[in-house]
Amino acid sequence: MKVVTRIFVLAFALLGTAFLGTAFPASGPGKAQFDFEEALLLEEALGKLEEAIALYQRVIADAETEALAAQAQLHIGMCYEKLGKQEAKKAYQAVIDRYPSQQKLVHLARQRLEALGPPLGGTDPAVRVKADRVVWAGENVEHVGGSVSLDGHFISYTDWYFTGNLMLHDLASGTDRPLTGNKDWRGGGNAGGSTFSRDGKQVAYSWQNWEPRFWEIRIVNLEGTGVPQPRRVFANEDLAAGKGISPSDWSSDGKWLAVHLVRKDRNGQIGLVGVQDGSLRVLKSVGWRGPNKIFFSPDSKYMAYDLPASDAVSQRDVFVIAVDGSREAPAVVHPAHDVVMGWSPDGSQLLFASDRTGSVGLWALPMADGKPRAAPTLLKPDIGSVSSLGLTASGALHIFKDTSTQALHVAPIDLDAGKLLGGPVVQSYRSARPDWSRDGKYLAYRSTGSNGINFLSIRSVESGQVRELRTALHYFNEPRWSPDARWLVTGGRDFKGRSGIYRIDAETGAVSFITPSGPATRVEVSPDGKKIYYPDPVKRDRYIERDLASEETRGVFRTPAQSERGRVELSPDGRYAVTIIMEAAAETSTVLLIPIAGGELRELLRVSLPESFAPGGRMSWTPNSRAVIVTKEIGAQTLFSDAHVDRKELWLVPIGDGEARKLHIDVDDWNGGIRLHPNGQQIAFFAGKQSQEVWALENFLPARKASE
Amino acid sequence: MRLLLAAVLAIPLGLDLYMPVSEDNPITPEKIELGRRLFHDRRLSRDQSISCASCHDPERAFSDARPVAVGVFGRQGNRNVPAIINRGYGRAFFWDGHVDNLEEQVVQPIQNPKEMDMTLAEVSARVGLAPDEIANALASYVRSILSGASPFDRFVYGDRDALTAEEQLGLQVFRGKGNCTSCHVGPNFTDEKLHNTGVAWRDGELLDPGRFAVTNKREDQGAFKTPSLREIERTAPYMHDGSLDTLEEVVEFYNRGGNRNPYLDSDLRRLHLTAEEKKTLVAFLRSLSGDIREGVQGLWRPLNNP
Repeated sequence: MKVVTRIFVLAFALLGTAFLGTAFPASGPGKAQFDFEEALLLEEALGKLEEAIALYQRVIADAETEALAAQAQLHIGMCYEKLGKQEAKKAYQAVIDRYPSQQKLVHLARQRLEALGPPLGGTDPAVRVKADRVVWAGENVEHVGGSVSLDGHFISYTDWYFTGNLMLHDLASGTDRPLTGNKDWRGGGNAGGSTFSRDGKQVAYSWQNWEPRFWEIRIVNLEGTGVPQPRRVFANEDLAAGKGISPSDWSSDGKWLAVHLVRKDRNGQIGLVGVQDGSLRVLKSVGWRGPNKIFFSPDSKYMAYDLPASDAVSQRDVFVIAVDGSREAPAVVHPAHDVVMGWSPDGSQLLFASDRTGSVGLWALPMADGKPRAAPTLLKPDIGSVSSLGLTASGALHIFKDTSTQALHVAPIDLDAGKLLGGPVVQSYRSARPDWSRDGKYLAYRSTGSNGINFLSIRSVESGQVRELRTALHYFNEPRWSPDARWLVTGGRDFKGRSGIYRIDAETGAVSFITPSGPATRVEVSPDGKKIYYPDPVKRDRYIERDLASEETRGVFRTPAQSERGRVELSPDGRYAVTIIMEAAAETSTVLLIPIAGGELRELLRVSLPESFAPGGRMSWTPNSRAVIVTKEIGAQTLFSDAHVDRKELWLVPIGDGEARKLHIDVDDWNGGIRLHPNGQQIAFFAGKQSQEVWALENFLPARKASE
Repeated sequence: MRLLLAAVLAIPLGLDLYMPVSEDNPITPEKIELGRRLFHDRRLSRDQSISCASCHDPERAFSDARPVAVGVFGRQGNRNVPAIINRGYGRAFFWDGHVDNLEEQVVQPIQNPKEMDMTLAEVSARVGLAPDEIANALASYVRSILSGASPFDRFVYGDRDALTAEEQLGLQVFRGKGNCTSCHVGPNFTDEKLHNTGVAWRDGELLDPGRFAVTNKREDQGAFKTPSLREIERTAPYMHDGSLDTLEEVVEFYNRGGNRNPYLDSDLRRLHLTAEEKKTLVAFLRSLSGDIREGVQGLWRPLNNP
């Protein structure tokens, strides 16, 4: 079973890092559409290309529209191309021949054919096999920060799961070495971004100290074994919590680190930190949202970075700035989402990922003297990631790929019998955090595009149609419906970096600020829609009721001493809330009933290790407010981690008379988001395997002409 | 965009090293010096009574003590004279943001009938320079007017004693409860955007349409550009119409959430600041006074430390 600590979940949320899932259909699928999504999953997430091809062929046979058939045919070509097979050309040619009205797809097919060489029937050599390969897969693969060493031997990353340490992953041996000394997450600080020196002997990384809170940039020497002694080169107390400073690249002369800073006013800056003296040169202030990465050109005269096109959108463009601050040039300005990935080793090409064709591809922009000198060209379609670890000296681009199969599911349920009545009737990849409207007509959930951008999806239960609302929130956690289904409320962070509780208009997606809070705050709405409930952002053990009209607040309850509280769920009638209380000393976890109007907290069910109740996102009230469904985990060694959990069970716990009983549903793969439909006959949940991989993409650069 | 800064300007602590400069008008010491002379040249006005510096007074952080600008023949404008410090980093110029580059900005007051009331041809004839030369020189000089190295800058760059305890508390209010950084962000304390704070809203109507006059968009009614807060202590009176005399009045204005009106910016809300918080906020704002420098490297003179 996947090991994910709850602390990781918290840290993940604090960073505002969006979960990356897999693709999902945008509307109620017919059979062919459903098969197509399955095939996409097989192709892109699981890499089961032969199976994907077979399914795509079935899609073509069953497709109700030419567009869908053409898409399937195109993907057959992509699968064959990934397999390095000649059939790729035939498949692409079939798109052109059979579906001439599908102009975009025909265009893509032509592009692929051109990339693969002379036309069919010519004297071409075999289709060139693209040497894409997985270099790191497994439970510890992280998708934030870090970089690949120039020799391709190592990857640096932060261990967000267990310790917050900076780690060194040896790609040859598969071993991991901590480069900082945290024993666990109570180590007093955590690593941020990191980058290797060009000779591969040192790593520079940022370190956030928690108390007092300040940021450092440190450098460690990789020679020897054990945890190396760091050298502090930079320290500053006036940087934002969470992401104050991050070294992104190391200059070729070894003297400078390219850094992204975030000041306490949330203003981002791009700059340089001197490796020897720690001096800071701020080149440019970039507003509320900074770059994903910054890469020095191989001669270190320029730095390439990406920024959102404006304060109101998530789509990014790519820019190049001279390291002496003398000039800057826009490199990639396009309505699509464009993210810098690195430079070709000879500096002639700026590499970026772009979703301009509908999926994320790798593009190259010819550069000279820090400026574009020609139009960009597509090097590889469907690389499936905008997250670059950089390039090796040999030109292998290393990227993170999310290969999770996690998806939002909706399945029929019989609560009395305690079992599901069939398989899922809805599966939405890259989606999570569902909530049913009170009238049961809509299911709202958070979705993430293949480009990593969050949006709010609202599915009509009746028609299956899905509306996608782009909000002014860079990140949001868990939308909750108002009783009249006209708005939702959620914790989140806006494009100006302000964390708080926000109201989202269900029709327009317009966002309005309610009150400051953490971006991952879970909010509950009273049955009359006049009040919301949420954890006190300052006194964490207190739970707050807020009147939306008067803005008055009151404490509803406090977590009992010596315990930690999980999420709080308000009953549909608004009279009670339930939460999970964890007492470390007693090694117990308890389902606790909270009367909203005041009064004694009441214990509903208590278990001891190795049994525990999952504290977050894995419970739901029954529609009649008489019972709550909770997830019990068996095999845990501590209350604060589901490491070693070998089984999960779903339990129905009455708040009045009656015994708690186990439901006969296999929930080992369920990861949260459990929400019962108001009619009690359907259940939404989030399930599947979480996995990420590091891929090395090679041989993608075009050969340079002799004249160049 | 292009910049030839390193050889010409030394950037004060706290400001970006990169300053956007038109490729057609690279900065040179000669142009800065020429622009400086033009800036103080009264021949640029119809009756030769005023120069740029008459309103953009270097001793007042290049601003004016009067609520609204007063031009040739005592003609009164309808907006306050903005302080032109660190405008080299600007992306929107004038209170309504109708110009997006300095070369265009610097020649508009010359041609405004309520300000200098000249044509560029007339000025060109008087000073013996082509209109482009005038624009380029004035823009280059304005780019050289920089303010940084304030106590605030020293504080954020690591000198934790640079701000007093009261100023530090005010900084917390500025970044937190005061919500000031929603607009006054970055090294220049401005998002270079336009917002309706309700200053122009009196007795149920907008006295000045602001940005709306430029775009004709409903959402731009009464919107004015966020000014820099650098040197704010020296640039009273405040707001686009100079209607508030003191920083205390400004803080009180925002504490009540601005003036309620149909187009009020969504970032404006009641702040519920205590008297102590307001006091510390004003103290912090006063810490934004630093070294104002203008002209080429080596010709700088710290105006606030004679």
